Amino acid sequence: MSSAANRPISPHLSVYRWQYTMALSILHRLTGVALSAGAAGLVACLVLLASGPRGGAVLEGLFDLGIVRLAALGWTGCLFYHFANGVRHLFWDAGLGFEPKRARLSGWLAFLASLAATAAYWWFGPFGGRLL
Amino acid sequence: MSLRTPLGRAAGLGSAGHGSGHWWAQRVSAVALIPLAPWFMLRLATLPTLHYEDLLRCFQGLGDATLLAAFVLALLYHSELGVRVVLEDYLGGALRVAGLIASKLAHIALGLLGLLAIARIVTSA
Repeated sequence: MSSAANRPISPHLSVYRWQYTMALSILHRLTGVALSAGAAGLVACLVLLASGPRGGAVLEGLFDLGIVRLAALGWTGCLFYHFANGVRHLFWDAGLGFEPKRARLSGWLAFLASLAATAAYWWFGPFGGRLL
Repeated sequence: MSLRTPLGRAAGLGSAGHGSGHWWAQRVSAVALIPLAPWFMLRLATLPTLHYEDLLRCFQGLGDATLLAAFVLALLYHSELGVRVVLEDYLGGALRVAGLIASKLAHIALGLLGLLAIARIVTSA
C-alpha cells in the first residue's frame, strides 16, 4: 500500500468529548431531511389546491386529521430550527461567531428560539393551537 | 501494482473543481429562503381559515403566486443540495449512484408539479 493510502482518515469522531453542539449539528441534518420529505407534502397540497373544489375538499379533510396536523407541527418545528441554525452557519461562513464560547451560546439561542417560535406559531398560526 | 500514473488514477475520481459550486449554491439558496420561508409561514398564519376558498384566494394574486413559486423552487433546490450530501455520506457504490439519480429526478418532478399547480391556481380565478 502506498503511503498516501495509509494517511489518517478524518474525522475521528470517537476521540472527541461529547458536547451538545454535536447534537445541534446532527439535528440540523435530521431536520433538513425531514423538511425535504415535508416539501413533497407541500407540493401535494398545492396539487390538491389546484384540482378544483373536489381537491379542495380532500385538502380540508386532510387538515382535519390529527396525524396530518401533527406532521405539520413537526415540519414547522424543523423549519424554525433549520432556519435558525442555518443563519448560524451563514454567520460562520462569513467568519463571525466561530469562537467556541460564542458558537455554544448561539447554539442554545438557535435551539430555544426555534422552540419558542414553534410554540408561538402553533398557538397563533393557521391551526389555532388545535392538535389532535 | 498499477502502471498508471498517480495523476491518471486520481483524474475523474473526485469532485475536484466542482465542490465550491455546490457549497456556494447551498448558501445562495439558503439566503433566498431567509425572506421566502417566513413570508410563506406568515401568509398562512394570517389567513382567516384554512378552507379551500381562503387558501385559493391567498395565492391567486400574481405577486403572491410569484413569491410562492420562488419559495417552492428555492426550497426544492436547497433540499436537493442537502439530500445529495446526506446520500453521499451514507451510501456507497451502485446504491449511491441510484440514490443520487432518484433524488435529483424526484426533486425535478416535485418542482415541475409545484410550478404547474401554482399556474393552475392563478388561472382558476
